[in-house]
Amino acid sequence: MTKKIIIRLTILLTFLVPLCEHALAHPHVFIEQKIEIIFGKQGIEGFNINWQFDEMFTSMIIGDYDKNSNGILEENEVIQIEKEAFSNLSDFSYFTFIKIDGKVFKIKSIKNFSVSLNNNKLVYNFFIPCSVTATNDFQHIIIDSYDPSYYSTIIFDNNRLASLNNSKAFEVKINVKEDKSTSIYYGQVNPWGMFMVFRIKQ
Amino acid sequence: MKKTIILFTLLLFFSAAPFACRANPFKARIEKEPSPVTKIIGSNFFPKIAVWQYKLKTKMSSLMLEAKSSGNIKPLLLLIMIAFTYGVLHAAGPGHGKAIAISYTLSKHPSWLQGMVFSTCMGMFHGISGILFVLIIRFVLKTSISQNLKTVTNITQVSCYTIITLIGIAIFIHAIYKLKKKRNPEKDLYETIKSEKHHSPILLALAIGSIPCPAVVMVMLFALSIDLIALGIVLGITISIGMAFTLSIIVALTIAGKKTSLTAISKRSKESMLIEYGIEAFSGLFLTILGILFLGANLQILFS
Repeated sequence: MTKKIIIRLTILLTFLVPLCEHALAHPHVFIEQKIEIIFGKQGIEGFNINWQFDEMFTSMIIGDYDKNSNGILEENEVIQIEKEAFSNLSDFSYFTFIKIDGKVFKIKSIKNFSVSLNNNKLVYNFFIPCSVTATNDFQHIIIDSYDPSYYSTIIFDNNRLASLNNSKAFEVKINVKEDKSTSIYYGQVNPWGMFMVFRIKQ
Repeated sequence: MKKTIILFTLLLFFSAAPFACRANPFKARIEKEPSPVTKIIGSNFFPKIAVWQYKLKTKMSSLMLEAKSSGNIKPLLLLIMIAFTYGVLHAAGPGHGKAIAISYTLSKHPSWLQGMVFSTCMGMFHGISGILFVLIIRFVLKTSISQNLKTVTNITQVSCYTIITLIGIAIFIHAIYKLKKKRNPEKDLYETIKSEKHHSPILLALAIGSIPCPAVVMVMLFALSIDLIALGIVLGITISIGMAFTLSIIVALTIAGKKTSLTAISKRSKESMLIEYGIEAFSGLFLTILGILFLGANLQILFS
C-alpha cells in the first residue's frame, strides 16, 4: 500500500517539476508594444513589432552591453544584444501567439531585428513574416502578446494600438482587448490580444 | 466573523500563488515551447496590479531623473512613498514566498511577534540580497548583471528549496511523531503545544530571502546608471519594507485564522489534537512537495 503511494507520488512529482519551471514569476519587466500590419498585393505579409522597455530594464541592458558607455548602441553591441538578450525569445514565440481562423500559426523566424534608444528607453524592432491571402470573406486573426513565464508584461501603447501599412485594397477592422479564451500563470492572467478581421474591399 | 476568518485562511492557503523567481526569459533557455493553460480562476487582479506597478515604476524613474537633474532632494519623500507602495503591490502579485509563509505559519504556533519577525525578515532579506547582489557584481566582480542575475538566482534558489524541503520533512516527521505519541489526557492542548520547543523561523526567512529580488536589482541598476547609489539603496530598502508589509498582513491573517479555528474546537478533545497535528503534518508535506518541485525545476535549469 505504502509502496504504491510512494510510486504514485514520484510519478506525480516527475510530471509537475517541468511545470514549475514556467510557473514562477511576477512581472519585473514592462514592455509597451505597437504592432504594424504590413500588407502586400495578396493580403497580409507579416507584422512589425515595436517594443519599448521600461527605464529600469533599459539600464540593466545598457549597463551590460553599451561597452564604451557612450549612450549609443553600435553595430557590435546590437549583435551582442540580439545574441544574448533577444534570440532566446524564440523559445517563447517572441511573446507573440498568432491564430488565423482559429488555427495556431507557428513563428519559424523573425527578420530585421534592430535595437535603439528612445528617451532613455530601450526599443526592439523586428518583423514576423506571416502570409495570409485575402479572400472575399472575412478572415479572423488574433495576435496575443504575452510572456508565458510572466517575468515580463506587455502593455499596448494607448496612443497607437496598431497601424496599417499598404492596406488600401482591403477592408480591415481591429480591436484590442483581453483574450478571455487564453490564460497564463495557472489561469490567473488573461493576456491582451489584437483581434482583427480583414477581406478584399468589396 | 470566526467563520469568515477560517474561510479566508483556508482560501489563502489553497489559492496562494506559486512563489519564487522565474529565470529571465531573455536569457534562460527552455526545452519546449510553453503553452497556455486552461483557465482555472477568473481574475483581473494580477493584470491590474501589473499596470499599477508599471505606472509607479515609470513615476519612480522620472522622479529619480528629476532629482539627478535638479540636484535637490525635494522629490525624496514622494519617491519613498512610491517605492513603498511599489513594494506592497509587488509582493501582492504572484511569488515572494507567500505559499511558504502561509504553510510554515500553519504548521507552527508562532506568536504575533514571531510571525511579524518572520515575515519582516523574509521581505527585508529578499530586497537586501538584491542590493548586495548589484553592489558585489558591479563593484567587486565588475561583470555582467543580467548574466549573473540568472546564475545567482538559480544557485540561491537551489539552496533555498533544499532548506525548505528539509524543514518541510522535519515538520512532517514531528507532526506524525506527535500524532502517534500517547498524550496525557488531562493536559490541555495549548499547554502541550506551549511546552514544545519553538525554533527560530529566521533560517527559513533567510533561505527564502536570499534570492535577490529582480525588482530591487533593477531599481539599483537605474540608480547606478545616473550615479545616485545612495538613493538606490534607500529606495531598495523602502521597497523591501513595502514587501515585508504585505507579507506581514498575510502571515497575521494566517495566525488569526489558525487561532480562531483552534479556539472554536474543544481544547481537550482527542479530535482537536488530531486536527492540530493534522494541519502541521499537511503543511509540512505541502512545504516538502513545494520544495522538491522547485528544487527539481532549478536543478533542471542549472544542469541544462
